[in-house]
Amino acid sequence: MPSEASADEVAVPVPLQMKLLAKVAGYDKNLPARAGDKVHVLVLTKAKNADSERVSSQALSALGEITDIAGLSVVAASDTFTNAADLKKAISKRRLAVVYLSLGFARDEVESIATTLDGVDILTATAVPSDVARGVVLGFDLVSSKPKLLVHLGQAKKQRVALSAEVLKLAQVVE
Amino acid sequence: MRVEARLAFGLTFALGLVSPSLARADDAQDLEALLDEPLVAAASKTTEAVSAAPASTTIISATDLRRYGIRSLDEAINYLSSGMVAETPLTATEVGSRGVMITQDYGAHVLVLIDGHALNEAWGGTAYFDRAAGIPLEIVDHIEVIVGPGSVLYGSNAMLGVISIVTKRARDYQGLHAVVESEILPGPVGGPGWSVRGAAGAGFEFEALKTKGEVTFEGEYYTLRGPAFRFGPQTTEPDGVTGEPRRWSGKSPPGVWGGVADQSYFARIPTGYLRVAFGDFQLTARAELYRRSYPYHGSDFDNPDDTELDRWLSLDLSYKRAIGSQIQVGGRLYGDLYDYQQFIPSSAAEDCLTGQTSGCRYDLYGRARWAGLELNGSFDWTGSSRFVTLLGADGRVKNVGSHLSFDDLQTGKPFETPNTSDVTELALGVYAQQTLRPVDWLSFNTGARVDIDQRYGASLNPRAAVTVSPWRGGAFKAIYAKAFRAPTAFERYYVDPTSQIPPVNLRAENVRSVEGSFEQRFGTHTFEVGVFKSSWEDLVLNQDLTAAEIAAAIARGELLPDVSSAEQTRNAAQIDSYGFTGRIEGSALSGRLRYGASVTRARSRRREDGSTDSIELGSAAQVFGNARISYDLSDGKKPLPVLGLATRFVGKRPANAADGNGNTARAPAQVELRATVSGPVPVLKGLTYRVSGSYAFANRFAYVVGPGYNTDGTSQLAPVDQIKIAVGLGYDLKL
Repeated sequence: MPSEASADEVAVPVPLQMKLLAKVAGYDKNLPARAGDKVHVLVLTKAKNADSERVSSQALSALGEITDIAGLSVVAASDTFTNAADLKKAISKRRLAVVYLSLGFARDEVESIATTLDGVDILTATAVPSDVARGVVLGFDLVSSKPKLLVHLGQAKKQRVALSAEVLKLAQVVE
Repeated sequence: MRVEARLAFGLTFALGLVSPSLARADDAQDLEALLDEPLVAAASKTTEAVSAAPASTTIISATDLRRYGIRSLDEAINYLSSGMVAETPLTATEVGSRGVMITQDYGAHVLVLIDGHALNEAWGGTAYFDRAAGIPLEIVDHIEVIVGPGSVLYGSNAMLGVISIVTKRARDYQGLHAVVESEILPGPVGGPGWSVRGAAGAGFEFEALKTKGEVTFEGEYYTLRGPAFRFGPQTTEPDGVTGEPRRWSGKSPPGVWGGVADQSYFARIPTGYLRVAFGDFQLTARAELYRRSYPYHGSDFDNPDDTELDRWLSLDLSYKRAIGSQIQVGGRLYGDLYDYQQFIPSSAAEDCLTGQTSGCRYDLYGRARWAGLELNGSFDWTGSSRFVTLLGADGRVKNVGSHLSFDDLQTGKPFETPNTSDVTELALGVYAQQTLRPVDWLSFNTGARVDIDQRYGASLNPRAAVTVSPWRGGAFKAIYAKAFRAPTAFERYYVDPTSQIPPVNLRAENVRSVEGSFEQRFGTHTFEVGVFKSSWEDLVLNQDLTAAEIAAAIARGELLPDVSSAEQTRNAAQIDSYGFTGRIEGSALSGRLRYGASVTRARSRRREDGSTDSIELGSAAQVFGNARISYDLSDGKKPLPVLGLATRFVGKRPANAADGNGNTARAPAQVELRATVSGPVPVLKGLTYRVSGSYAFANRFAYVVGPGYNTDGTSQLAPVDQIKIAVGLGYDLKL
């Protein structure tokens, strides 16, 4: 990742995001019930977007090195985003516990995902910090050179993500 | 997961069966540790953890800049960095690293980057570190201070290190912002000095054509009216031309330099910085004007017309995008305009051209215009960031020029000298870097850069680094690096018929260094020790000419017939340096309590070519460091002040003019203390304050002032602004 930043940027290196995601997911009290015996993580890629493919590739590689989340084994896969409704079906069908949005999603796509997943039991995370304000539960920013967790508390409640106070204490809460 | 980590996890898991809360606490500490480890981008043009970067790096955060009352880059270096030290003897700051400082280099041995754009200009290599750095600190997100040679990716100037200033993203600078800050400098004699700084800025995000964009901007005006200082009296030699006692000012009798200087210590600096990002593009623009005078500068004593002026305008347009999942390409198109003017009035005939017996004004003008295109691409062989190749090329065209005239003080008539240059030069740098991380606990970084420049030829600068992390939080690092500094246009083309002849075959300076370090992190606490050794070659110095050389120069028409002493710029010296550094820093109580400390001990010696004797480096501290602690009284319910206490120290060091030939002036050890209180103003939403006071225990810098000696035969050293009291108010309006 180059040091220069553009507007639609991945602030925190993707491998580090995956480590943080695994840690934070472990603090979701509803994760065991949602995941069952394995934590299925879907990395969502934007079609025909090379930046998105690059981030997805790095995310899958990093997830492959994470052996467990809260003692549950991790199964990671990637898929190309079509629309929010299809994503909702996939969550149910594949018993997904975590969905990670890669780079390149337009504002209305992110907002559509947030609206559609209202009431769906799922932890969503994003590579792009500004997407948290648009309704993704968890994001990662870089402030003064240190990683920072961004949590959309309202969306977390809608998606039945119950992060412990220990995590929220370390995060910047976005309403 | 590496074996140690598995063992640690297994142990944690086993303990967790016995005590789930214990395992949970350990996990929380892991998360906090991950969030607390700073990332650096400038060391390898890749964002990575400081512990894994191929260079010794300190990260200075915006939070710390505010907590410790930091108002300029040199203060940030002195109070918050490790391995670097700055001296600001009432004039432009000079920066040293690991025991090496090159005086009067105008910052040319440190590369300064602002959002990736090099600040060092192409005429004299100048970069400023005090207020004249020209970046309002409110817009700074963090500063990466990289110690040691860094030419492998950046080319010239990165000999002592690289300072990379990264500005805030719009989301961290959202809304409108305004700051007013004033500093009181009581001074030792007469009335107090003062400075005022006003700044205003804005940051916002937008979306157009389904593409995200953002804008950040801050403009600033700083003005300083320094306190009065007493200098001298210093008895001086008669004028070399008239044979009469020299008249330095109306404040002392003829033949005596000194008095109370209360007119000539000032600075005025308007500056602005703009960053616009749109999709894959980023544009930055910076403009600055820096006019100043300092009280012991130049020729006539305390003359406010004795001034220097720098002007900058920089533009940088960068672009990056991925091609597939493994390739990323980028480009940067940049252009800069810079000029420098120096005016030195002198009432003495010996400073002037033949016939100017009533005095003259030395009038030097230098300028540089340069533009370049940098292209780079990286290939992630495995798609996992473990095996990445970076290739880049940076081509640049530079136009530099200068002229020197001596204007008659009585008539105002300018006398042009042969010092008129107008040169266009081409330069190309090509670099490659390979990172390899076969397993989590082992990483390699190797690379090299070749620079070819019409001014001096070619320079190859490699770097190799290996990091081993044998256990959780621990990292051993070994680094070899080489760097260079191209001779500046000033060094290459400056001549003065009264004092300086042109250089012959001037080469680039070189430095090679090897270093090793060990870092251990315990949660949010870090401890690091390191050792280093560096060897400098072909150091560029001004050397006195022999009588025979002066006669030959006069015969060639390079010097005026009545010149009795003159200099030439030459590659003339070597430096050897070695030593160690130590650093601790960390935070507790969810970041409310923060602390840090660093120490550097070095032994550095300079040896001129052809000599077997080595001498200490003028002004270069061989032992220095800092310590700090701050506490945020806020409990999360109601906003309360943040208290910050910082100190820095430097050991005794020889003055800049100490040369081993009789002048042995030394500056005393210095300890500075600074206490700062900052926080929100109660009731008034958006309004913040910051109050700080600092005291320096020693009253002298390691810089000799004046043309002669004190009446007891000793050299006088530049005075220190011992007391500084600053009060500031800020207003942030979220939109």
